[in-house]
Amino acid sequence: MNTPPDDDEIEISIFGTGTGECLAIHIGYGRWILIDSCYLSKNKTPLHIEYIKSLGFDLTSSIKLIICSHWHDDHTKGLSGIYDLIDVPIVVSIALKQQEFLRLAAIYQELNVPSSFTSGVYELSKIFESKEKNHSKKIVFAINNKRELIEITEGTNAVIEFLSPSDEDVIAAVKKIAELIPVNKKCIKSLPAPINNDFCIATLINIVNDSVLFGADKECSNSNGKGWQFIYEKFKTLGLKKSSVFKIAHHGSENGDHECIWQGMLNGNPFAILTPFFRSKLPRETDIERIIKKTNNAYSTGPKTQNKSSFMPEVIKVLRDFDMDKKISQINKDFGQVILRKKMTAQNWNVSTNGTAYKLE
Amino acid sequence: MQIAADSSQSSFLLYNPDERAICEVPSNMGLYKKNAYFLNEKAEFVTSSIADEKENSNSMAENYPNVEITPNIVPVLQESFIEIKKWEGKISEVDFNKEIFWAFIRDNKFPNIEEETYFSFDDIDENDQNLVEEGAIFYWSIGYKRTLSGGREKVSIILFRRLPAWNIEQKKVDDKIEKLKKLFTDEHPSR
Repeated sequence: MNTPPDDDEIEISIFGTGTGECLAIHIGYGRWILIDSCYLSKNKTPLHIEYIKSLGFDLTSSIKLIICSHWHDDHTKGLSGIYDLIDVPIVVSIALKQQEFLRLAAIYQELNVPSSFTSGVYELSKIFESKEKNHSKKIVFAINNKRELIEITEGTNAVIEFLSPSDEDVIAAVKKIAELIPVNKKCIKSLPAPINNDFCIATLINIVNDSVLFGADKECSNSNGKGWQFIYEKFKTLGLKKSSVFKIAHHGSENGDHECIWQGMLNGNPFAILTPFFRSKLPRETDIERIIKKTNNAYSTGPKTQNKSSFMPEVIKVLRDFDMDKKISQINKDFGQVILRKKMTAQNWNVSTNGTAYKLE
Repeated sequence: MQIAADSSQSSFLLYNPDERAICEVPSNMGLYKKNAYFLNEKAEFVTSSIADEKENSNSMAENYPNVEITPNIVPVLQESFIEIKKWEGKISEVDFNKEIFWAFIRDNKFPNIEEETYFSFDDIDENDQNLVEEGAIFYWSIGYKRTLSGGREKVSIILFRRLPAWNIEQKKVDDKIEKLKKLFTDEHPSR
């Protein structure tokens, strides 16, 4: 579908590469919100940016907000470039405003570790640098119970509700960030990101009569003050509107799922879209079985399988001897896109897929 | 970095790219036991000898912070290594229970191809296993080793990048934090 959405049409586009995900949301009248960023290795242009451009929109005037759900590499590739290019507010977790993260960012900015690999913290440091250079650029620090309004037309706003992180999420995240602060006089390395997703931002976007839930990589917790259990309680307290579309959390993992999401935060038979994450082998078969029991409208952006790398015979000969010939996969080579569109006042969504995307059955 | 003398001499002189000698290394410093690579950003491989003991490496790193010393695993003195492919890698995840680690790898000759793989702890030198942690950078080379007897063996070498110990002035970091804090003073989400 390469025709642009009409002014009165909402579009949710979800992109996945198997090692990255990002979203573009058309809230109407040529205004877009971006969530996260990923790209293909061959050109390194964020997929949502390439798509919005291909529809004929001017990036500078049409993109109204960028949300960075968390700092993992698979959600941040290319984010700082977009922020640099377009004068648009970016939303990041409030955990990144804490002393511990600022220390981490400051140290790694000073160290300037030479490597050809990017990382989430590198992208966020670059965003901070852009802000240092241009003070008028805006960074919004998100915490639960906060919201942003983006005007669609005069008197009509898209309402962006940040459902997390909770205070307890932030405390847990800060503790883990503190552990990453390198000790002076130790050997340096490039910066890792903690595996857990404590300070991840889950977002609800209300557009006219509908709402869409973006689960990012949010997971469940044993504590009611954290994770999806907290989000659900907050959702009820605020009397928020159930959603008809759900970007499934954490690549469809069991730990990213909770009955309260399907029962309390989504309409019956919602559109539910996931992006795979190959390294963690997500989603598993059991995840897909669980999800398709919840809805008939489940999709994956794909790809279904990883691309094996192709090598010269001489290279294969050596790799085979070390049992490495089948262990190397080419990543960020293909992508899939699930597109949902509907008129603002309509009830039903129209769904289409591009590239490697497919319906889960 | 350049090395001035061959291994038959009693010491080596190491030079910066501007040809200023920066240190003299006695050839008995681990010579013939194992080899070491001397790296910096401009010349990534120069010599096939010198120290291997970690304490020597650490002391070198402290004295010459712009020298990166990475103990080598494979090529023995005077044996040649014919490299057929080399990747730079970054560890993305470590599973200590299964003793495997995942890594993004990239052949810098082909920057538009990204690859991902996993290694067993057994694939790396025992002495380097303590370097396996998220974010660690390494180089992986495969090729052939020509042995002293004229034979040819397939070789896979993983060298962890041992960047020098770092020492940033605390004040510099604190100033930077204050600057960032000030920058964010007015940044609040609206309600």
